[in-house]
Amino acid sequence: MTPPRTLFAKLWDMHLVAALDDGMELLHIDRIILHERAGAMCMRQLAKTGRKVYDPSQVFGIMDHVLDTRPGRTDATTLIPNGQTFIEVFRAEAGAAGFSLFDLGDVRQGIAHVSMPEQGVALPGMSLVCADSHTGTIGGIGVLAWGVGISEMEHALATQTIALKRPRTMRIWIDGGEIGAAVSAKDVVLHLIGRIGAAGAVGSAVEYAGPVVRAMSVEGRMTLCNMAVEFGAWSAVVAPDATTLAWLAGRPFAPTGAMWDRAAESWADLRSDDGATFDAEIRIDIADLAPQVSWGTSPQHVAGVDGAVPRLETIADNVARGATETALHYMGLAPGQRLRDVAIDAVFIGSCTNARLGDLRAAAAILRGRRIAASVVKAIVVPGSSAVKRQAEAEGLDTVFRDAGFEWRESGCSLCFYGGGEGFPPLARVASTTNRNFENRQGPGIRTHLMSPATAAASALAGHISDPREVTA
Amino acid sequence: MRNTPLTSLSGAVAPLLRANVDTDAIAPSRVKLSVDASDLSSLLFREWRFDANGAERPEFVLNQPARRASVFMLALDNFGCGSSRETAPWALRDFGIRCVIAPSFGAIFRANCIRNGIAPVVLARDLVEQLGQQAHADAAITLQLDLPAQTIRATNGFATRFDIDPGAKRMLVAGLDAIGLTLTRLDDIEAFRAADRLNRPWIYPAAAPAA
Repeated sequence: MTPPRTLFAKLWDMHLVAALDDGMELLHIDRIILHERAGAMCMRQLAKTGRKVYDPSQVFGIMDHVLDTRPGRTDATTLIPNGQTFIEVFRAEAGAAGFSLFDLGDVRQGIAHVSMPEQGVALPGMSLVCADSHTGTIGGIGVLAWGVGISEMEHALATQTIALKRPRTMRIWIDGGEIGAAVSAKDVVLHLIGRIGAAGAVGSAVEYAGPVVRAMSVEGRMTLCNMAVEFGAWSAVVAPDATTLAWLAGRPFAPTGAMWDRAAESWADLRSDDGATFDAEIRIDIADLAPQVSWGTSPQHVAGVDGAVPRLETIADNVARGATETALHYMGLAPGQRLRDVAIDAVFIGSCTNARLGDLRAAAAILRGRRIAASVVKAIVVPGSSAVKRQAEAEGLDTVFRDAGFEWRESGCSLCFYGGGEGFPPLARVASTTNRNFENRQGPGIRTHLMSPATAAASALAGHISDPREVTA
Repeated sequence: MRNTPLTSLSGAVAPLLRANVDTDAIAPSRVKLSVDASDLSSLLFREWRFDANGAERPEFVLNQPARRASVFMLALDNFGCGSSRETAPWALRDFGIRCVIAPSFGAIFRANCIRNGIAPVVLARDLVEQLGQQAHADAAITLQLDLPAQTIRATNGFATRFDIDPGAKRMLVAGLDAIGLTLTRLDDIEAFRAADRLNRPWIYPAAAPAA
């Protein structure tokens, strides 16, 4: 009898081409995803060495990082210095190499990690790399997906493989409650990072499991996997199940008919066997979890929305205390300050973390028939993909957001960082549904508070950090 | 492409005793980039090194006279977390830093370092803090890396051995061309794909569906 295996071990073994020297293993890569920022540089580097793309049919390009998200956008409207060159070079390189490109104006365009599963380009059991750290998002549908740099991406393009050392495994078991609109997957993962720290799983292959994950939507699972890199994980995955298959069936690049049946049958084995062991196991209980909000400059700096910024004297570790002091100085907050008293200047609903249809619906449910506070000078919604945007418009969500005082944008990475070359006004304090609250991430001196779409919407209405559970229907 | 082999290294060290230093800090995105690789040394820690007018912030470690030519950097846990941008190791390399010592590294950043001839050396946090405080107090302290022997020494008598994956070590010491190495396995790759195509035909698209 074969010993019980983890889902990760199954995914790894099915892509194993060869064991190399020194404990490295060569893995086949089923899908390679390129965006225009890294993709333009990567294709140029590859050309310099005279190497070619091994199999263009397994490579997919998309525009998300540099492309502008303002209405009426063109190649030329990006505000990133030299950005138009990145767009044009990437498009030309995609054409020359012969891989698919989800370009400006194509409904398949969007944030890579939103569009690729949504189009069925990514499917359970695949191995997938993208030159972007949030690639693990796609693990939400049972894909072994991880982010790589440009050199590793060149390696994948030229050889359809990556050489790696098998990572340690970690299972995160989530129990104890139900996910709803007011307490979402985002709150769960922020709470988790607060508990285990930004280096809590450095280099590990994480599997999310447990009753909360089983009951969670595919979108919520992708939100969980998206932020695994924020606690150091190398990748994250959720075992595909009936929920996953129902979500994937009929998507443009998904197999159909007998081929779908055959694929689906093979996916049934994509779960950790009973008795499989992990190098580390973490259990969290989300009963009574409050919506979570970050207060500092690392995603581990989080508290419940009804909580407060920590007091320095309560932090025993001198490094953590120093980091907290530095973070509070940057954030312009005082130790012990209540989070709900913190006034915000701007709101951003978007990113590969929280810009899928369910996220927009959750925010719109709070905003419907209301107006954002006059003190909020900038409020933006950026749909995760052009297809999400189209669907949201069909449901009238764009009108809800506009009537509430939000800008309704085209899809892209946008103000999660420097996407499209935009930033918030200097020193603005932003309620953001994104994944990183690093110093200067959303603009010089910008103070980012990470939270869920519902909490961001409630905060937009109040003009300060606010509990979505208190916004009555 | 081959990297310059890294066997031994000696010189000044920049202690940056912070945890979770992210790649947005190492290589900020708000700087004009070229699609072709260029010298990125001025990008390194741009927002910590320079003020909004481009003037140096004298208190930042890399602006201190004895540290301007640092070849080592010391930092705390999870150095290089965040974005996968390879501009982070390129900026370090172009500045002249060929070895970063920390208790842990962001996984993608670590892989990027190895591909670019920078040694990511993991030491226990108490050792990093100890060496960091000594180096912080005395800028004359210089370090020595012996990668084949896996040792770090300092001119003040500090000495320790470190562990590193044999694969990473070999890549750095020989400055290997990883792609060239893998292409010698092309037969294995093609054999895998031929078998896999029968098991999982949907992985191998014949043609893309119409937009």
